[in-house]
Amino acid sequence: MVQGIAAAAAVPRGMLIADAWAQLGDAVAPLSNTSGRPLARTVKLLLDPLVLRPAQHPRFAGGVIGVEHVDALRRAILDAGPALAATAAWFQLVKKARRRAGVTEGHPQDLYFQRCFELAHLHGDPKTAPDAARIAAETVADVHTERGEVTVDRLRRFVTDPSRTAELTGLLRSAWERRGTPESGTANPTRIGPPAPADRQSAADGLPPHRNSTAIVGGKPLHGENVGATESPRLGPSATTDRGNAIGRPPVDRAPASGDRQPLESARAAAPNYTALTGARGIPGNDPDSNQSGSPSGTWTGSAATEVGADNPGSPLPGSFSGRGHAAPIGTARSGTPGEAIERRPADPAATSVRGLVSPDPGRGSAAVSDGRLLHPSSEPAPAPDDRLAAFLDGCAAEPDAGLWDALAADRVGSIEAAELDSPGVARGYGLTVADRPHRPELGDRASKRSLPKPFDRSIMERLFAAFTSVFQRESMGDVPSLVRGEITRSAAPWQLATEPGRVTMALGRDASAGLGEPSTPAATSAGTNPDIAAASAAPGTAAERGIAAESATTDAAWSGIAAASPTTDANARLLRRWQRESYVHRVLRLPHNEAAPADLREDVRTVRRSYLRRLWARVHGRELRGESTASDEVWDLLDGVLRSVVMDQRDRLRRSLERGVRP
Amino acid sequence: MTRFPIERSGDLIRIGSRPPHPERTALVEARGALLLWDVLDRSPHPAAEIHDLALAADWLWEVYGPYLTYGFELGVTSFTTEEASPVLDAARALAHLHWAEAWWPASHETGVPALAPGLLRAETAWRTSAVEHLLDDVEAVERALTGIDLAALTTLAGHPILGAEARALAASVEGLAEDHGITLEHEPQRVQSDWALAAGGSESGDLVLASGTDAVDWALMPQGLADAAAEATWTATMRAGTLTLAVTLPAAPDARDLPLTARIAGLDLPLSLDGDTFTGDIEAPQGFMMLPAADRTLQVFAPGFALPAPSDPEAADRRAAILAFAAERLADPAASLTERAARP
Repeated sequence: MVQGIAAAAAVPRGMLIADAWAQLGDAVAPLSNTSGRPLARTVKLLLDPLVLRPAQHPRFAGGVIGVEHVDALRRAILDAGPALAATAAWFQLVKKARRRAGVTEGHPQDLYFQRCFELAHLHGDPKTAPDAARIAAETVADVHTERGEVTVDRLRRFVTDPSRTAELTGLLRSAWERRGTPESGTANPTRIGPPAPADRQSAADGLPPHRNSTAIVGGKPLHGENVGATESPRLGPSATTDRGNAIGRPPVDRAPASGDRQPLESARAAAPNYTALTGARGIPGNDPDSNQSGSPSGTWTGSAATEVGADNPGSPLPGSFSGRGHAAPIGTARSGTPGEAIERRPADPAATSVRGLVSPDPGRGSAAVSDGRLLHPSSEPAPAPDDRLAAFLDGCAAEPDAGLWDALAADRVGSIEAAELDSPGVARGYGLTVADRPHRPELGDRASKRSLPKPFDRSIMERLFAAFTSVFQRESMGDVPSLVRGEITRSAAPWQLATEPGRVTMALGRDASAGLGEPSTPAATSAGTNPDIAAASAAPGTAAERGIAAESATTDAAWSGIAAASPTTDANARLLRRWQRESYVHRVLRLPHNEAAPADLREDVRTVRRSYLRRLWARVHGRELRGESTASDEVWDLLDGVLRSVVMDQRDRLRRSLERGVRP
Repeated sequence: MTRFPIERSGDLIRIGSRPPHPERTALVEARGALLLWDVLDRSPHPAAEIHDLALAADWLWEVYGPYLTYGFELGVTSFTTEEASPVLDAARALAHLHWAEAWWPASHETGVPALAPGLLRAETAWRTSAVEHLLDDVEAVERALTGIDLAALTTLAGHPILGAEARALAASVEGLAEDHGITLEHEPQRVQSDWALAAGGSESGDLVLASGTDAVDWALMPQGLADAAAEATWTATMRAGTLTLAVTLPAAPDARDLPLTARIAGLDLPLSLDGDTFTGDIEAPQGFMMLPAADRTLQVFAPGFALPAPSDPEAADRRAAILAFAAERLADPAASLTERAARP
């Protein structure tokens, strides 16, 4: 099929892969779907990171491949044929071993594809390996054991151990006390501009340095560069003695840049699970808003460094950034460009009114000043982080700007943008809490999937519980004590997250989701028959709340969004378009009409942005717990995947409402 | 051969146009584009709304052939394709199953039986897996597999003609479930109720003062409740000195017992499934008889699903066409196993 279009300038990458794949024949059938194409996960977990490696071979990146590279791409796949065939054979064996062991947890393709690729390189075709069945059984046992290390039970025992309560409570209190002080920086990242080089990477986050450092995994230090990004903590016995490529694994690399836009980190280590990468839901039937269906889903089969206080468990706040760098008061920075702050977010009343401290409420500005944060008025012109957030959102789907992504983190734009969360009603408007302002969480002694509070209202126990009951990557987390201490530190940090990229992601998600669920006509504010909404509209509240409460409860206008919100960025426009498509898809699939749906489902639609931000937070939180870094070309998948996940869960709930009988 | 106009508006590229009504639309949500077949149009190729060409380019060639992408670059305004491919067929089959789940017009009146839901789900999961590489939902297969009850296939497994196909489908779905780490159910199938023709009619001894019949808009209720061909009937009866308004609506084969509401002259009557009919009655104000006929039109809707709306005068024709299409599918050897298994 390639020959017929050889005259053209470029060929769709998918077509070339399909063509080469077909030549591999039945031997790779276990890695293929019933149309004979490589499975989506085969491409994401094997072909891209391990065979084509577009980051190293840019000619293999993108949606189309130049004709001059067609043969090279085909050859790369055909050359990998024997390894892929052996991978497929191992996968069959491992599945058999899994069945025999009675393991049902996790997604087998996620869990074993890259393991099988390793086995193929270590042992070749299992037919010629003398104890293939034993190796397969050990692989399953290995994966299974690692998963069990951190259990909810151990977490509960640790948190509720009377001999520790005082210490942990003290840590929590002091973390939150420091939070309020200007020099702690955790909650009041008033510093604008690049931090001092020494603390840029991680000290300020209360985390071990992310790169070029020692990380501790399972109690054993791992040395080497990019531990978190490229090494797996569990490459098997041979790997622990000789990490890296020497075991015969092919070098791994990062994902394709643009084009297919399903970025991968390196191999198993950081290119873990297809599901999580592409932003799908976690376990079906879980709590709608939080981790369950949305949050760090799936199985990240690798990733080493647990960032959460792993190398410094005794110190709850290792290096909260204490006044180093420029302490430019955010209020000053913002008020310098009030017009801009207002104009940039016409679609987002919540954001416009509160986040810039350019408040339509004259009282709020003074409140911001009076809380003691604005200590060092800076004469320097502040950079405009907003513009850079918007610039990144404009490019992140098509051409993510890696330099800009790094700069946003280095300049702590995510932390700076978190300052607004302490203004009354803002975090509530984003769906992250029910309280007027975030408050210190409880340590907690119980947790239930069914009744998880909003993210900022969760106890320390609940935060960790949510992360490792709904996902299967406990193997990459730290041990219980360091997880708990790390979570305490995290809870007091900006966005209640520990890493700057995670915070930047939240700020990006907040801006990219502006206008979701908003009506196209303000007239819909009357809120019809929904007492909750009527009450919300009537209640005095912040502008943020009013903005959200003004969303339609009564008409499909809630779906359209677009008429009300002129998109601020390309990413924003893309999310709004996904949301708008959903209305049409509902009609085609004959799902309940929004205006008639039961109140709770209508509310889902109306408050979709809150669900979105909650789920994004849960995903980012999960990534932090697993020590996964987020690369610039993964951000859009995360942002888009979260909305898809929210939307698909809404559909599932609508379907269930049909099954049980729809009653208003 | 299919010829499509190509139209660009903003970031959207349209190939062909949307089918005229949701009830005729068979949909696949692909990566970067919606694929839309009009079930009444026999063209194998779908219309498409491409919202992300960079993503869609990866698989568009499987549906339209390899030249379409170049056409975009050249800015062409129409496009002709004869592309035939297993992936195109699989995508269309999946779209059709999605349509059937939503809009299959089960009807005693026209002899269109209900589709077996368990079988439909299993076949949908199987078809989903054939095109998983081009779907938007990265967990589409898992989602389709979740909640499947393989017992739904056991009845059919003993069928003299379709048995082998059913067994193969069961095996395939089981393999898929294993590959995706999903545990399937094996519960015994719910015994389906016998089909009986709708009884209807008013009780004897009462004095029927007035009655009327109106078409039902099936978009106002979930699939599989009302008989797709039937109309709703209201009857005003004097019974023991009271004016009683009764509404009957023939139920679809194997109808689910979900509530419906009939609205007439500002009165809402809850309807419930009684045998093969949704029925309900209510005491009517005497003034009901004085109303002009135009004010005594009947609308039936499922509360919580849709708000009542006047029926579209063209709806009857569309419905007849879809009923005819369904009848044709039942006799079509190329139809889905689910449809062929429903054949009486």
